[in-house]
Amino acid sequence: MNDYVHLFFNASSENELFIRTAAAAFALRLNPTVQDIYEVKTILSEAVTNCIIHAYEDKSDGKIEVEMKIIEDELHIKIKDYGCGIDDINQAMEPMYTSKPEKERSGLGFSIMQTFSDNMQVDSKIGIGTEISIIKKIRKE
Amino acid sequence: MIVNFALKKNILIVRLRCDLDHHNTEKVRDVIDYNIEKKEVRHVLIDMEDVSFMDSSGIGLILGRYKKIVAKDGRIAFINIAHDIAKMLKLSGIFLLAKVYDNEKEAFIQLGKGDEI
Repeated sequence: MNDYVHLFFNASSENELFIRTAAAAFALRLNPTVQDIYEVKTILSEAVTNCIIHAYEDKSDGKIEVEMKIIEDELHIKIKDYGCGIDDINQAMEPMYTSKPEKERSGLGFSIMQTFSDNMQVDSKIGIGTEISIIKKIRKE
Repeated sequence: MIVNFALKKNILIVRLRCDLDHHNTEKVRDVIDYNIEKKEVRHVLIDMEDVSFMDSSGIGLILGRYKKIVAKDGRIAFINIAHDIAKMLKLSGIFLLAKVYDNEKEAFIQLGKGDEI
């Protein structure tokens, strides 16, 4: 049996701090480096921010789910929303592309998540929601 | 307060004291802009000593302030950036636009240089 946690929370920006701190705490049992912790926190922060700003367009009653599992030396993370979905995933993942320049978004969220992950998969359906699956190896040499 | 300000000559020192995530950047953005516009500010020096976390929302915040300051012919600089945050900032290319100085004194000397000409 692999250890896992399953968190379910509403799309408020207050929850960003909670979720990245929870993820960092969960990853602690893998004896991460300081850099690993920073990267795990950033991945969660970027993903949840995307749910809040894009999927739910700042409507804080939207629901977000985060599942984390530890498999050997890997942290498996799933971030799921039931929001608007992404029309063009390739475009969304382009560095510096943002659909919200007026909100001063840098367009770097997905690039940073990708850089800090060992594997990232994005599944999205318009009107249904988006699920992001990430594998992050801890303490890889 | 999650941000403090000091004005020395025409340099606004912005001391950030919070995680630079989406939640906090939305809060500090307007108060930083208010200080830039209300005072005789040309350059902005961002003190990152009390920032222990920053994501792409923080990068958006810096880029937005950069645009405002460049429009006034000024520059943005950093002091006291933690190692892991510096790594993330490097990824963003932000150091092409804003320099990092060793300390406040050095930053004042360097930022003041252009003004004398």
